[in-house]
Amino acid sequence: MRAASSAAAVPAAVPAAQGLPAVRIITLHTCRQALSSHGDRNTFAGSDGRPVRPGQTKGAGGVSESARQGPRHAVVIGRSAVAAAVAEALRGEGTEVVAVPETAALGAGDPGEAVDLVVFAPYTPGSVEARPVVDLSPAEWDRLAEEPVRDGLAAFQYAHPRLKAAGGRFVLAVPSVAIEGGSGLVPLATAAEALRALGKSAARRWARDGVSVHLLTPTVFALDPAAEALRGTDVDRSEAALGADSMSPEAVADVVLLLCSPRARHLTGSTFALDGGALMVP
Amino acid sequence: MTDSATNITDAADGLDPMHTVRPLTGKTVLITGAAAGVGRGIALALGSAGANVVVTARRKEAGAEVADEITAQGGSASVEVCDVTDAEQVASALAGAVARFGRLDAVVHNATSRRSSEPVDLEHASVELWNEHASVASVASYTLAKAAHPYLKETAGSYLVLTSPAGMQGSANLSFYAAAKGGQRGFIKSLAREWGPDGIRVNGLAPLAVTPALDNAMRLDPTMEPRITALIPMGWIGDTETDIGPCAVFLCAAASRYVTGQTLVVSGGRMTAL
Repeated sequence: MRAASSAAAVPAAVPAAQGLPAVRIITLHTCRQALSSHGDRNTFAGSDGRPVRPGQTKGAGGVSESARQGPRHAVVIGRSAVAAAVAEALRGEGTEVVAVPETAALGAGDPGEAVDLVVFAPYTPGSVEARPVVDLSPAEWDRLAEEPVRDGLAAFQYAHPRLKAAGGRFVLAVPSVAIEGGSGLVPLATAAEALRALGKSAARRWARDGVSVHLLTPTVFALDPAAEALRGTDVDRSEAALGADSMSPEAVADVVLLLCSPRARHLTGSTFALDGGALMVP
Repeated sequence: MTDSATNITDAADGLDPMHTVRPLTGKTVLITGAAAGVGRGIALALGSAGANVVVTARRKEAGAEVADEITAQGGSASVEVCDVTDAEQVASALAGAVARFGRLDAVVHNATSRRSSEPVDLEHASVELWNEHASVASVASYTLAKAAHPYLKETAGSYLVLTSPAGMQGSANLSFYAAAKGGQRGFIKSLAREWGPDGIRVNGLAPLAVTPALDNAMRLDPTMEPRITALIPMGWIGDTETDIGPCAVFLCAAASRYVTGQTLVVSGGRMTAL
């Protein structure tokens, strides 16, 4: 299911903004199941509703009571299949999710309360269509390379006060092809690496606020089905150790849930390559 | 065989078949933002390496001073006015370089936003400020690439983009500079793959050097230099002409003909994680 796919599901408090439908799913229940499927059934067992902050006192079980929380309120931004899969996975775990295609679409859809998790997983239609730089007009360059960064900046700025209040997490998902390089994908790679550097900067700044920033680089094929046209090109990392199934949008969602565990509280600013074990660097 | 390949394999001149002394003899290199700082240092090194150096700057007088330095040292240089955020000026500068010297073998995109060194409040900074950074970094990298491609394809040339360790590690206070430089690294690697079949190499250079701004800051705060050098294994902050310049020369010259898509960090060992 794509994020924001059903305008009919939008409650009155969350109108479609700028013609882009927003979806708010409210399904509050325990998140215990979330980590039981990831081998850590204690992590989401708490119920005090307090946010997790790095360095909180641990309880007898090694995880503080307040740390036993998954994200209660999440905002997922982006048109990518990754964004859709993450939103769906979070809903499945009982998280209240607002999913929008771009930051500007949040508008009145802003939860208006402390958010535990903001996920920014952009996809610009046409960005995975391999095209030589010399064939791109300035307007096309702006749409493919610059606009995603401006939207990302807006996402970071939207997230900070909310995550600061909640001691939450920001997750950025941009394609691994930006790290390796891909012929015909210069604007996609430029935007992705700018966003990743912005994310590292945010990680350095926000640690003092108890906010962690995680950087995920899934394979380009997880962004959108349109990327299938790149099969057989130089960005087709067919040597992925775990095989193609490990590089799906759902696999990325699994990792997002993993990073929501308080056991991930010692991580920030790191890049996790979700390419099925193709690159294996550094 | 490409022109570059000929240079490195032709042993006809016997004493210096790889042109190690003046490896850019007969080559033409255009450099942006060359009026001061790292750009000036690289321009002088290019001149010493035998290149016809096309010094570009937003103000002709500022560029002329550097060109005069090069010629005073026995080198060859010309000046082109070029604000890299203006596509027409970029095209004009490139055409002027070819008109003057008959060819273009390398482009060095060194220019960076005048506001690069300003601390940025990431949480509240305006998108207009970001656009200022991007206009000189990613947008200008694209503009230069598009305009220079036909010339560089003809000579199997080199496109060198100045980036920074901040683009790899992020920066708490210079977040927009870091993002601009990070974006350029993505640009470099993908364009290298794209232009490899055309024989054009695309690389990055990430220097740590004494710029006029840093020099001024160190004068105002005498504790700054020892604090910085303490983090540099080699024990000094690089000189733009003698420490950074030769690495730019290498990446423009035939000696690096098998190097593309890379970022050479020239920081005295300050950054080794790449």
